[in-house]
Amino acid sequence: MAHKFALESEFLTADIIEAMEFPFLVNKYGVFGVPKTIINDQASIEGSLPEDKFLQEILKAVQASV
Amino acid sequence: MLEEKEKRLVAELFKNLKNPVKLINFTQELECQFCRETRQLLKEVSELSDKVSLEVHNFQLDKEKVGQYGVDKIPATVIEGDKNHGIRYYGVIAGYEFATLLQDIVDVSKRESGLSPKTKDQLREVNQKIHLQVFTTPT
Repeated sequence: MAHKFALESEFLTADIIEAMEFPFLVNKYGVFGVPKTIINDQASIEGSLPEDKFLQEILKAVQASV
Repeated sequence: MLEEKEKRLVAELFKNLKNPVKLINFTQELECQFCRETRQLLKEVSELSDKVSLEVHNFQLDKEKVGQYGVDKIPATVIEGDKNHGIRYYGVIAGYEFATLLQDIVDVSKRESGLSPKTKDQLREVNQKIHLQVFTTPT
C-alpha cells in the first residue's frame, strides 16, 4: 500500500524495511510488532489499515507536524 | 532462489507488463548474506521478462547513485519506471514482501497503482515531502 502511495505522489517516498536486519532502527522507532509505519520520523501507525484510513492517518500526522 | 514453478508463474504474470521497469540494487563487494540473497533474487526475477532489468551498484563506491536514490543502508532495492517514484526496499525481499515486489513491478510498469480515485486525488494534492518507513518481517 505504501508503495502504491509513492507511485501516485512525487512527494512521497516509501521504504519497506525488513525489521530483523536493522535492529538499530527497530530500537530507534520502538518497533514491537509489524507492520509498523513511521511517518516523517515523527508519527507512527501500528498494524495495517484499509487504504482510505491509512492515507487519512498519514495526512493527519503530516499536518500536525507543520 | 526461485523454484521452476514459481518462475513460470512470475513469467506468466509478467506477460502483462507494459513499460520497462528497472530494479536498482545496492550491495557491497564483500556481500553480507542478505545482500547476496537479495541480489540473486532480483537477478532471477529480472530474467523472467525482457521488460524488467537489473542494475547493481556498489554502496561504498558508487556515491553518485547512492546520493541520487537517497539510499542509506544495504541491501537496498529501488523499483524505477521512467523516473524514480520513491519505491524502496531495505533488506531481503521474502515471504509476503515477494508478492509486494511483483505487484510493485506490475504497478510501475503500468504506471497504475490501482488505488481508488479518491485516494489518488488526495495523494496528488500532497505538496510536502512525506517519508514512510514500513517495518515488516518475512513470514
